Amino acid sequence: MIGRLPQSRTTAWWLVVVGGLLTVVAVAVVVSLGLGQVNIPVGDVWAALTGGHEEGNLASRIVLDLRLPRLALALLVGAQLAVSGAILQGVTRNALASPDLLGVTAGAGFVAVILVLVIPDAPRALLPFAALAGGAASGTIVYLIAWKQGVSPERLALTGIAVTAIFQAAVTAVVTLSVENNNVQLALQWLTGSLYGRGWEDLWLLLPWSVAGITVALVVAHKVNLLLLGDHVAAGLGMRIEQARMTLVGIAVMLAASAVSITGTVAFIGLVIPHLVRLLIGADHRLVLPVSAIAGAILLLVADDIARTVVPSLEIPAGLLTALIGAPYFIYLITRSKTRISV
Amino acid sequence: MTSIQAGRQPHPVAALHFGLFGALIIGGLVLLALGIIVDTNVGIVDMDLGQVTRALLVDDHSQARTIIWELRFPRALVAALVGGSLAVAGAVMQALTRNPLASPSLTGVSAGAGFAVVLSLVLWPARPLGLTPLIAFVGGMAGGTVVFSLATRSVVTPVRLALAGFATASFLLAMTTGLLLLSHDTVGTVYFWLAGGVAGRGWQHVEVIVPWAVVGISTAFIMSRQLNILLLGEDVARGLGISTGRTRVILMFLAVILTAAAVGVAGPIGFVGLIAPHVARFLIGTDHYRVIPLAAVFGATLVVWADVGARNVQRPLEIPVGIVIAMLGGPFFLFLARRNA
Amino acid sequence: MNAQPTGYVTRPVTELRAEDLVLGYDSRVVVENLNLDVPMGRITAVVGPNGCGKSTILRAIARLLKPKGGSVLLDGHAIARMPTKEVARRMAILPQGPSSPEGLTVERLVWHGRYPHQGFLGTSTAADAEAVAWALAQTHLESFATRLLDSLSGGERQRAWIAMALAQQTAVLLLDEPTTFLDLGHQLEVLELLAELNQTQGITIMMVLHELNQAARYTDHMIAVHDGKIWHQGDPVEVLTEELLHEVFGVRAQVLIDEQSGKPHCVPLARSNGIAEQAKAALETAAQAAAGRPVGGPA
Repeated sequence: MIGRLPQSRTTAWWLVVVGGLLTVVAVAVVVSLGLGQVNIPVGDVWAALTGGHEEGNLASRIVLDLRLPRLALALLVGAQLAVSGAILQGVTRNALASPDLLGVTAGAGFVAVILVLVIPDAPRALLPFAALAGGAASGTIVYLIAWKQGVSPERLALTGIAVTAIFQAAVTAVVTLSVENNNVQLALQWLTGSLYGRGWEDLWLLLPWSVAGITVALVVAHKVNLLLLGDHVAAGLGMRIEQARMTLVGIAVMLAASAVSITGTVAFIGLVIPHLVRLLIGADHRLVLPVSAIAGAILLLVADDIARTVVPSLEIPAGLLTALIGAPYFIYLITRSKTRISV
Repeated sequence: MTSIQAGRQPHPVAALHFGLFGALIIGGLVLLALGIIVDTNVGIVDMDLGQVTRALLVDDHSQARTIIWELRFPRALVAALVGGSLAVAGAVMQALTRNPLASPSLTGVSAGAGFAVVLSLVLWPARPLGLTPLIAFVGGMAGGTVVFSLATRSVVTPVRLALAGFATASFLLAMTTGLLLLSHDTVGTVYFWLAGGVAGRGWQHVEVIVPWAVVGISTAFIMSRQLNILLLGEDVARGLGISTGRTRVILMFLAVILTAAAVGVAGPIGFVGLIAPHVARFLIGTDHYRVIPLAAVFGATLVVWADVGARNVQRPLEIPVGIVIAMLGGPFFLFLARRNA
Repeated sequence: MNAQPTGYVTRPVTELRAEDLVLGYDSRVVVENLNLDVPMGRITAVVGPNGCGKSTILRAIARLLKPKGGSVLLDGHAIARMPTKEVARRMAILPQGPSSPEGLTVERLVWHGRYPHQGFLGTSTAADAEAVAWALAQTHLESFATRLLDSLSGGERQRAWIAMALAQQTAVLLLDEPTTFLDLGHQLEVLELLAELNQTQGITIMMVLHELNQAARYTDHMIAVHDGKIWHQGDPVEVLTEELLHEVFGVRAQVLIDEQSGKPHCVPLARSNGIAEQAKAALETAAQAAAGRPVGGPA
């Protein structure tokens, strides 16, 4: 099945699926824009989007200035994390891999926490860049440490776990030693992952990474299919394994680090979405990646919607919600009688 | 892993082997006792080692005695018991899964315990602190069970167990951190607990952990034969007449309760369960009749001395012991990961 | 010649058979309604192509695989209902490619074979020590006792595992592909040892072998398995035939009788339905048609 479309599914079927998903996204966006502390009817939302309101209209302001960028970010971050997870699960040939595995989120978290707690005078605007640098550096460190005449999937996974553990311990250390600090709340919030207060500036920051990252990922998706056949087979088919792996891991790191730098650690999307998608459409990654992107986008959007509306006046971080949503699926994974967890 | 590798060198005779084991155990115990005494010596009130030793041995109702006996000594004892329990739990996990990278902290027990404690604080802010060990225990059991189920869905390979543990731990950590946001005032104390440490642990904590540690470690020791045979593989073990399913469950349970007891009393301390068995096996081979006692002694010594370090590095501030051990253990784990994969 | 068991076999077995066995993995059924009686005191080989179910059958008999239906009977008792230690005192198994943990010496490995005979606390008796010494002697490994398992050659290591199984002092020994991954010299080393054990101790041996000629040469009874069913069983001369090779393995071969041993020996010629065969068959058909003879008749 790898390398060509399954016979049973025609192009028409795929168009229906993708079209359906995109429609869901569109609907979700429009509905989400209406939800919140101030509920705005769909008609007004539409009007706001199409410029039907005059300048300064409250509904317009809310929709366009507050909610739209936030929702767009939710879509992008969800998509990025899902794609990153899909790539990593393919590269490590293990269904339990996730962007967190490579130490990206832990490294970003560490740098962010240092910035927030240890250097409180630093401008807030620096945070995304610092986190991005931290995440990217951490991912690179993991890759380099795992390198021993090449990187095997197992070594990559185990090294990632080790580095993550170190960074997490470091984060715990910093937070514990700064308990008196007023910014602990902020640090914790970042560590949990949230879209609260994210606006247009954040969106512009992320957009280039999204576009570049996801596009490149889609282009090199077929390499994942080959890697899944096993190193020897792939090499025999003429693929330059180490180069391919490096590229793929690099993209995954980039997608995850940039996403996490904006929202903080959002759990589970990268782990759970690719699973679900593979269950539904198989393991051809040329399809798994884009569908994961859309599914991840929807998941985070819905999670954020719930997070900001379920309890009035309380902003639950979206990351907590994705963990909660991911949990039942996780338990389901455990109780399945299927004995093979493999990509 | 052992110092005797390829080539046709004959293995040291069995008698010598016991000599080495005896030497290591005695040496370890001496180091441990020393560590306890030194750890007991650290504190705001300065005393010299002579005073400390006398206060430990003689009950002369002096103030020194009270401080030493009521405050400092039990703490050191807890450190030792926690270290020993975690080490043995780690040894059992590593044999059970035939994976040198297994450890209690990678098996979801610590994460489960942490989550349970935080959850209980959020849902029941006024709950008595004495319940923490029990709650941590239950949470730890749940976490361990989850990971075990997840990892044994198919062939238990090193990576599979590690990833199952990692995924579960990430998930629990995410929920734990999120919950902490909802309980502003307790963040400080909870994080301190989450870091893992023995500060302020007294005789009541010793009483909590001693039965579990004693029963757990001795049961593990008695089951050394099964552990040894399990290393030969599932089929061979069954061929020799071991009910592997049942044995694995018992051993897993053993590892989980040892870890949960330790975590309940001292919070999630990682890496001890990973390092101690490794060093033991490196020194003495893979016979669990020897590995288990040695690992226990080494684990206890490690935590006690780490506590000494944690309390002295930034006097008079106390860094939680868990952090010191993590800082030592992390790179060691990296080294192991590189070597083993 | 199969000798009577000496006093070393502590629990003799008079019957080992499978009744209406249904075996499979998950939802897949691999073996259906298998009836098999393992000949006591003899060496039996189970042969067949890849995926025919031979390992599955062996594992089921060794109670390593739980049958979906039917049962394995040891002296008339259902093996699934016997305590596993009891079974281990009567039957030893050497699975395929056993893992050798680091730091394990030959001696300690062989001692593990005494587990089924030892109590809960695992105290060793004189009988245990005797059995271990005997096992090491039988496998000619006395001088290797303190050597590390992973420092041995392939053949030596396999002998060590056999020694462990011997220390169990069972009447029956089951082996799953004991010679795969060994070079020819070591293969013969293992097979000759097994033959010797059967001759001198009367131990019943059943093993899965993939090398047909070795199976024919070193065993008394061959069971050919095809698609989860016993295609034929009996004396090697009866089983290793050109028909077997063609129908079960899809190979055209010549079967000769080795003068020295009196055992059959097959020489594969070509795939039964290979291209060369098809071309040849087509030519023959054309020749027959040209000669006006009915097609498909004798060539």
